[in-house]
Amino acid sequence: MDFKPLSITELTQRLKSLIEGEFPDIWVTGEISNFHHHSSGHMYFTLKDHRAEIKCTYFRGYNQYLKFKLEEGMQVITSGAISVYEKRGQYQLSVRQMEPAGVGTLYLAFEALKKQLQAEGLFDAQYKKPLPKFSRKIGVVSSGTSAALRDIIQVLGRRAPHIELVVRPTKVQGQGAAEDIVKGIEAFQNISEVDLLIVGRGGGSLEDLWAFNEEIVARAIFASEIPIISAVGHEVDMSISDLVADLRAPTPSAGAELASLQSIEIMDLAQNGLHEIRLKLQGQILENWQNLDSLEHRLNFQAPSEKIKQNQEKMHQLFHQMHYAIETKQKALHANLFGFEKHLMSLSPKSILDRGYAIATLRDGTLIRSEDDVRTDEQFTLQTGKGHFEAKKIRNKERK
Amino acid sequence: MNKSNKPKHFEEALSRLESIVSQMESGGESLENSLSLFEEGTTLLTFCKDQLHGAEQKITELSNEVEKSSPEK
Repeated sequence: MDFKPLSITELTQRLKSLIEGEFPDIWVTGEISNFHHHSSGHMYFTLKDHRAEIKCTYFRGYNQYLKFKLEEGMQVITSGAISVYEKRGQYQLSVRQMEPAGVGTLYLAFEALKKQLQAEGLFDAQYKKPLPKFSRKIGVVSSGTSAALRDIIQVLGRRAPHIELVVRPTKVQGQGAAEDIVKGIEAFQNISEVDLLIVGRGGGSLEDLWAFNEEIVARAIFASEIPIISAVGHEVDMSISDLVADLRAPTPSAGAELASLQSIEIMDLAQNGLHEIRLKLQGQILENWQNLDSLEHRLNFQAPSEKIKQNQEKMHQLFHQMHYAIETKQKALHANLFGFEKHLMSLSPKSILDRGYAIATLRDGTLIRSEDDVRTDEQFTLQTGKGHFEAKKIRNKERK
Repeated sequence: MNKSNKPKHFEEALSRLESIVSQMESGGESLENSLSLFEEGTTLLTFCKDQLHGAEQKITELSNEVEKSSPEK
């Protein structure tokens, strides 16, 4: 007989694979006790009801998304997996997600709807519409006052200011929210220019986000002719609308980024185009410069300065001719004048005296013109060409 | 020639300038005419140069604007 007992390790490993294989993903509800939030960020506690309890770990990577404050004695609903801690022979629940117990029915509804819609094929990839390559007008179905809308506006304003936003203020939580979301989606179907819809809201509790898990919303999204980006809550929140939508965005601002992802490509295209246009324009301008430069050269060559120079020379020559003419004339005149002067000089009384004549004057200077002008023995003056002297009348000569 | 008739477009000015230069090159113009053609020619030339400079500057400005306003990636 070949009897070989199991070692503890072997047994534990068999138990581990058995248990972990059986409970990879379960929902468990119970009351929190022995709650300890370790400084490492991990949470340790026990979940119990009136007859049993189980040790639980809730590691930091998961509990950072916890939306409420965990307290001793609280009724919660958790999802996670059973794991075996071999060293201590313990089995425990590794919690991945936790909600207050009140929402437990919501989880059931969520799971049920998810299963149903999945079976109907609403999540199938073949029904996903491609997002438009160049969105011009994006419709937003979200609360008119939410941070989500502000984020979307901000992201699109920064990344794709050319995209027009049409916001349909929508009730996104509470009574009638699902109906309003459906109306919002349907309202956009008649606006032909809208080529993409963002449907969503910011983070909140499961109850806050619930409208996006309603069947009518899922069916409205599926029926939409316009591609839809679902952007609900934070990254960890998965909603039915996320599953049906043509694209799931982890957050509203991510939704806006996904919607405008293409716009950056547009900008690249446009910039390339712009660059080409610029090169072409610059080429044209260079051509024009060349043309203009050659015209300038030709124009300067035709400048009338040469003509002016020729004319100046001509004028100079004319002036010389004029000058010469007037000089000649002047010389002739001068020669004439000299003759006149001589003639004139010859008429001077002095020249007569030089020829031997004399002028006789009385003492008072009166010219003596006849024999009667001077008495006998009267003295008078005789003026000759050279000097003068006194004379005396002796007698009159007899006339012939 | 009508000096007050300022060109409105680059092309208009350029073609007028071309015809002026051709006219002057064909010769036979009186001094007074040549002067007045030359004056108009230089005015047109200055206008064309200004237009080209302006266009170049505009292209640079617009390109800078585009670079400023392009989204971060």
